[in-house]
Amino acid sequence: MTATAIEGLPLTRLEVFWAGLVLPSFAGSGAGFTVREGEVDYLAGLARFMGAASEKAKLGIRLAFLLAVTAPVWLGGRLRGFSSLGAEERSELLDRMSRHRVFFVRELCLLLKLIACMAIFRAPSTRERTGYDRATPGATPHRRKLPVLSHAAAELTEERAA
Amino acid sequence: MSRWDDEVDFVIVGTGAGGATAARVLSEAGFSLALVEEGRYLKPEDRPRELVDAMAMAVRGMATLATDSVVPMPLLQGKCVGGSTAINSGIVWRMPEDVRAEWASRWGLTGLVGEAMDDAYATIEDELGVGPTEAPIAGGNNLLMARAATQLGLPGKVIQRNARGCEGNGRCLQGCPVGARQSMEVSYVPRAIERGARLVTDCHVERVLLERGRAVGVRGLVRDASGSRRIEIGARRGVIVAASAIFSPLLLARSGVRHPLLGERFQAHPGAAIVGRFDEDVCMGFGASQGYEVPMRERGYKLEALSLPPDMLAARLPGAGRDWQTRVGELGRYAQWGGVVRMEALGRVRAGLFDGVSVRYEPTRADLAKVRDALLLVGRMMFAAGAKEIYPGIASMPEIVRSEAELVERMPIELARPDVHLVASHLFGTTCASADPSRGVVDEQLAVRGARDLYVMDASVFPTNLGVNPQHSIMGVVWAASKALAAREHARRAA
Ligand SMILES: Cc1cc2nc3c(=O)[nH]c(=O)nc-3n(C[C@H](O)[C@H](O)[C@H](O)COP(=O)(O)OP(=O)(O)OC[C@H]3O[C@@H](n4cnc5c(N)ncnc54)[C@H](O)[C@@H]3O)c2cc1C
Repeated sequence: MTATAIEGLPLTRLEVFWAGLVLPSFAGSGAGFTVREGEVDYLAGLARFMGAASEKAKLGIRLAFLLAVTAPVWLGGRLRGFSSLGAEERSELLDRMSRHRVFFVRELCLLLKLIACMAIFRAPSTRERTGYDRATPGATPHRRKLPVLSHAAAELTEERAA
Repeated sequence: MSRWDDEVDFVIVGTGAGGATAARVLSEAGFSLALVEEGRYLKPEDRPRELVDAMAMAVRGMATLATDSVVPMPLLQGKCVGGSTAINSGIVWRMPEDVRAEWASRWGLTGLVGEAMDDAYATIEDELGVGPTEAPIAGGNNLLMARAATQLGLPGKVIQRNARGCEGNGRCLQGCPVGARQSMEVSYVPRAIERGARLVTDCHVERVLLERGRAVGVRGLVRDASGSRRIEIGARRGVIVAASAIFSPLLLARSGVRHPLLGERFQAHPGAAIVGRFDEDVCMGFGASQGYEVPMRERGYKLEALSLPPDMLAARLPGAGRDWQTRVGELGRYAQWGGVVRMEALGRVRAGLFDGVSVRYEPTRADLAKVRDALLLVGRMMFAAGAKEIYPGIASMPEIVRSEAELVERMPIELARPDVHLVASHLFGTTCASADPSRGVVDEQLAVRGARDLYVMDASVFPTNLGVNPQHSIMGVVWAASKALAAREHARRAA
């Protein structure tokens, strides 16, 4: 996490702390696809997102963090803080938030999940482990010189073909 | 000394489908132009693959601009040179005949949708290399949908796109990295520049300057690496507003234009989609982002294959934690197809507190019935193509559905609005065109009523939505209007 990314975040220190707890928790269990230590910079991804998001969304994100860190109480029924939960328990809470009957809760959870995913897939190594990019067997991308109108694009394509 | 920072024949605000087409026609007709765009200019090689970076550069508000509602609907728009064409899938549809007939008879727009439009289509299709998505770059998501349509006997077809030499990078939303999609920033904008047009980027036009009712120029705020400054560009012959169905009415209102319908009649084609899991490799990472469709016009919607970047796909898979991570580990096994609905709802756009804009728009019961119908059909198609499980994304249904029978049984008879996640990227109608002054903010020449030398040339002039992808219709209408404008100005010059 770079200092500039934190500086760019329109969040209080406490909210940054919450973000650092909540965003990694979507992929917090040890099963299936896992994020390796230090592989993903969640706060940098969040900063990039918030830097371009609408004012309404920025407010939504802050509210979403508040909802998530207080979820052990209002959703889990236990007087505990999010930070005192284990990784699996945090994931479970987010899982429950994502299917909550109130639209608003589901939607805010989805917003955080999308930001977490954007941060995860900003790291090229994570993408390689999902099978997303494998070419369909038998399909060979063809190349031809493009009669495009933009010189810049045409030059680029020629360079690539060369 | 001139009061202007620059002075041209026409100032065009916005470089999307509408603005760039006007620039293409007017620059070729010999007029000097300034194209003023709020977003930045991105070369194909500047477009990152990583979604958060790509969207931060080119998508307005990271796609978080939404309707004002307890159930907000995200409104997707581009904010860069090329406008929304720089993030779209390049799907090309001519305006349906029934829409053309209605626009001519009910709205008096024969000059725009008659023969002039046919001529425009022929030229645009030639210049932008419109053709069917080629088989080698179809990709698994599109091919599976074709299989499903065949199995169910649906009228599916390969999508026509404005792409030349597409490599199937599946990055239409992030921006084509090889400039194959002929969006406006690689086609009509550079073409106008070659003919002398000047491009001013990173400049938010705050007002059209009106003097004694005549548009004489624009005032904008430039924000770039060197800081921010105000500029004024003079327009000897007129100002063309092409800032989209959301921002054109706001700019006109800020500039002092008044009409009872300004900002009214907002319309859209909202959509929702289903993700399905297959045993075979689908690999959305390869193939045209959108290469196959099933038009169901008589039922009020259109089904389309829609590949997602990995981040969006992962976010769309159900839940969090253990099961979710297991699914994310197999991202290559998923397909996504959706339904885009021609809704009857009418909304309105106004200046607002948040982000300067407020959009009111609520789908009607009939609209939601079409969404339900479309999603049911998509679900059936998924199972016909061999899906092992699907994620309908309907809150009142199970998150995971494993058979067609379960889908039919559990699909609610009626969808409530919070049940379904709708997104709108085809937006129309807030400076409606009509030959009748009481029904049109602009007239049949797209000239703003109550002002001189001020025009609107983008999707906001559409009196109705279409039921098909709109870029080509916008370009056709704007082409016809700007040809006629050029002819009138030549006549004025000669007189
Ligand atoms: C993700 C996505 C996918 C789509 N896929 C397809 C498709 O495959 N086929 C199809 O036919 N249609 C598609 N569409 C729709 C199509 O792209 C739009 O309908 C079309 O581009 C709208 O044209 P427009 O000129 O009205 O506005 P836009 O293309 O949105 O252009 C408006 C421009 O004005 C600029 N602007 C706004 N306000 C100001 C201001 N005050 N000052 C300066 N500049 C300003 C904006 O930054 C923008 O660049 C898609 C849209 C999206 C968002």
